[in-house]
Amino acid sequence: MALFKLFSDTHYTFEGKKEGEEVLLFLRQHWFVLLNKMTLVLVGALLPFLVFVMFGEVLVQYELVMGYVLLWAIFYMMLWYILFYHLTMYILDTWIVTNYRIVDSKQIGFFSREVAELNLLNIQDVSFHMKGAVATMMNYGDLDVQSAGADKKFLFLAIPNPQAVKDRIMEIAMQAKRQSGGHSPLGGIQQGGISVGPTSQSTPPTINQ
Amino acid sequence: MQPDAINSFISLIFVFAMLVYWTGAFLIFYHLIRFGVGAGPKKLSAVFLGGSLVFTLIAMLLFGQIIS
Repeated sequence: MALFKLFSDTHYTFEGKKEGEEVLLFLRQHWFVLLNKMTLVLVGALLPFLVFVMFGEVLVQYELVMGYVLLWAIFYMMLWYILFYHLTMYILDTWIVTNYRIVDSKQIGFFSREVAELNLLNIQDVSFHMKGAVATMMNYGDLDVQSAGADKKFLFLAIPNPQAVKDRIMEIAMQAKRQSGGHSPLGGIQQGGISVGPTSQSTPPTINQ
Repeated sequence: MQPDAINSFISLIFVFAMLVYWTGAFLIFYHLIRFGVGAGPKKLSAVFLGGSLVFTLIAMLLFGQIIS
């Protein structure tokens, strides 16, 4: 039975999660980005049908139908694999905002994985940009998080609803600063009345796509 | 080349292709289970495993029929 616990709600645990750390935002790229990569696979799935329609008579005439069906099955196995390869890369490319930090995980092929993190107290500036008609219509864009004292920006690529995410990250960062008792790294913005995400729910709030 | 030798050669290629596929399948399964955050990736890995088993079974049955 312990095996099936894998499939139950894990409260968004991740490698290196600290004690008392709560996931406030969990982000992936917009689904449209995935769809772009999937299009070729979906179109490819139609190929055996087309070939059969075009050369079906020849295959029957030379009794090659069984061999063709075998090739069809192997071709679908390949497509199945490619489909899940892209899905895996998409799913493992995440941005997690917790009550302590931002964790950026990126899987680049099977044998290369990058994980970077940024303390909420070091957030200096958050900005986003949407580029292109599709991104504007589908409401996705890139979000830059500039940290104090670091050259490298934290870049959230093609995330859904970047405006809401930006506001949320600002709120979370201000809340973290307020709790730490120091001066605000966000340029002295008024912090009154801001409520930072629920702390008791099991799933982090989602940003509508 | 004798027909038996040809059959053996084709069978060998088929087995090799399956080994390559299942090595790759293991990598996908492993990454989704180990690095996936939340229950979603685990469920997805189960779907992938189920589909891979079905496709392998179909391919093996068809190959068996052709080779025999």
